[in-house]
Amino acid sequence: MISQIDLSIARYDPEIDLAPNWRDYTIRTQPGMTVQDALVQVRDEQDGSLRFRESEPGGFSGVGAISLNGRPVLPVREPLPLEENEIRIGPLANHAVIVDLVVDDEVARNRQARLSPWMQRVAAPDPERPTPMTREELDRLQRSEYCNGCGICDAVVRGAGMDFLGAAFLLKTYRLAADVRDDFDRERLQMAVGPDGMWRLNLAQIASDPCPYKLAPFAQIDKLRRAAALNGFRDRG
Amino acid sequence: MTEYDLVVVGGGIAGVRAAIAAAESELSVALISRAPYGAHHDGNIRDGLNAPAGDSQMAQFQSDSLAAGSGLADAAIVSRFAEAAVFEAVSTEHMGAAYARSADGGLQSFRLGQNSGEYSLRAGWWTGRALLNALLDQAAGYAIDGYFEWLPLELQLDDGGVSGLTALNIRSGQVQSFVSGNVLLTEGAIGGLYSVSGNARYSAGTAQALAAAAGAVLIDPELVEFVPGIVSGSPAKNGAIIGDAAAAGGANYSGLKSDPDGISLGAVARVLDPAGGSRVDFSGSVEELELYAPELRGLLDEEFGAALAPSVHYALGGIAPETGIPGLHAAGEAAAGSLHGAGLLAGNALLDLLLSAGAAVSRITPRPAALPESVRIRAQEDIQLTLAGDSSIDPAVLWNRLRDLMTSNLGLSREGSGLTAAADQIAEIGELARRAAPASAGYHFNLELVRLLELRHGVVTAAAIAAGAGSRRESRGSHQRSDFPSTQVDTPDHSAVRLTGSGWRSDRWSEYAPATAEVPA
Repeated sequence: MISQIDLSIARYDPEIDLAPNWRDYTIRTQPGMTVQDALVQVRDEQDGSLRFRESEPGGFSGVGAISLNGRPVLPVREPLPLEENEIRIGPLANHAVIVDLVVDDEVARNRQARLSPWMQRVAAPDPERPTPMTREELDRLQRSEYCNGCGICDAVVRGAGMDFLGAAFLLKTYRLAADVRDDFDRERLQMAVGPDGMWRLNLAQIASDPCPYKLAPFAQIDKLRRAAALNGFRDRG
Repeated sequence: MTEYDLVVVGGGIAGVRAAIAAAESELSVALISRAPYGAHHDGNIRDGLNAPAGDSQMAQFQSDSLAAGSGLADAAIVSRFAEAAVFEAVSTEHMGAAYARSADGGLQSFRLGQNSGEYSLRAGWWTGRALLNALLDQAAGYAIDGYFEWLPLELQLDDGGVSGLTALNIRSGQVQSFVSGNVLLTEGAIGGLYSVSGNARYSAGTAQALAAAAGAVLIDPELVEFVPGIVSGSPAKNGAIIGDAAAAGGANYSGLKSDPDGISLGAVARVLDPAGGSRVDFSGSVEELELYAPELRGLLDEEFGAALAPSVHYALGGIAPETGIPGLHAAGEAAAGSLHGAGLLAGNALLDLLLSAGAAVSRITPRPAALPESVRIRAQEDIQLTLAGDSSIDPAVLWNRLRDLMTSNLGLSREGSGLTAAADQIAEIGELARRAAPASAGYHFNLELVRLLELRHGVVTAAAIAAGAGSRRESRGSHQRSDFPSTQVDTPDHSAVRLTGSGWRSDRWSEYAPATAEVPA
């Protein structure tokens, strides 16, 4: 038996459209299919003009996040919600749309570059030896070193405005601040405490954990806020 | 037009490491990456980085590497990697890689897979990601021009050697010329040519294709490392018990890669379906599986809900160390370094990506180069012609045809007539790809255009794999032929294939003299 389901997908071609519009497609379903499977089927069998970033199987590279019924997800890891009445697939929130489901990642990348994210030390390390670091010190990173910049945490922050530095930016700030090998914390914290920074998140956002890799970015940002407060940075939010 | 001392192709670990090394040597450098920033699948590597310390670990590492290489790993090269590994591991630690720590605050060593000793570093369960992130953060401190989501199109040569590269800005659809006397190719993954792989789907062996099209020799392109990949939602049609596949497929497929505390592959293996569609390639511990892929955990328990299939993991061969083309360099998966030989030791992929990148850059000196504007204009016209191609030929169908063909004829088990047929069909797909038009027009982020251009690269690499496989009349390591089931123990040799004006030519690397190379058409 062949089952079918209807999808609405946001389409936007800046060379033609003034604004995104929704287009409907009917696809064949199979058990266990993902949102990416659905997009691939539409692209390869119905409408080759549909543009989205296709992830490798497994979805560890963080490519291709979209909005599924208003929720940010990685299509390659997200089962198609066959039980829901309506399936709407749009571009990731809080990101500028380039075309269809492809969003601009350069803004977030350029912001993070402003953190000068390389290891900066007062004294150069001995090139022959690893920097001494205890297991407890390593644990402080709390897996923040794994962030692949998929953009989902940035997308769940509603109402923060396009000038908000972003959750991923703040997680990177945490990652560097938590690392004992780096001595540039104060300068980076200074960037993260501004009116566009860490204090713009509300408590409900801090309590959420949307990360598909379970990195708990908002829990780390909360620690960063405490560190900022302890270091004498005032709430300017 | 943009001029550099060095253009690096590939935004993975080898490419970024090379760009850092070049910037440290005060070379002006551009990094061109098909993948978006930080999204390269090298970040998926989960096992670890081999870094043997001390004589006994070095001896274990060397003996393990040579055994995994099934007679084709080079003892002298393995020894050089052994000596340089710790220094490189420390360098990347200084760049911020968060390797696990021992109780005394040093680096903790682990035993990976069936390696004989604890000589590997891990950054938790996601080593490749932690390392790639550290490298990218380090690279941000240098004047490296990053071009992300750009597709390399063609190497440019003049009488003296490399003069640059043309590449397509995917976002704008515009071609740009990069003028440089040195191009370092690192984008070597080939998993996109097969049905099942954890590589990005567009992994078409772009580096090998660019080099081969420029007349460079590829060594051992037929040596493709497969690992058991979990394929979900694909009931067996022509299934075989995994035990048979392991017996036929050599030691590398039989669990050498499986983590000692990882999932029991035997327990979840029900069928082998080489034609099965790929969903997820996962090897890790049960805990990781439950945390990061809970949907798979459920599938594994269902009857025929999940299967293991050979998943393309790593291209062991690649571009020859002496390309014979001044200014053309290769590193990482794209290069044939003879660290791996005919099989990959757990923890040697990361080591290869890092060390071969640094080694390649150390050999580079700036070379004067020039490219006329006509090169860029012609390349842009080619894009225009492609967009106006034959719309009755569907590139998506061609891609699927190529993947099915590679999986069935150039997969885990190969056979002479299948290889001949594959070579013919690859040529046919290539001919169709040259005439086809993308499914949609327009220049702006036209991923269908990009997929078609990648297919044209992919057929070159696929043809090289077929040519190498046809010339290797033996079974060795990752290369298994049902018509030549034994290993030619007395004559371990490397294949050497290249594209000439009259098609693909296969030689043995030992007999090959770059000085006598024909000029390719």
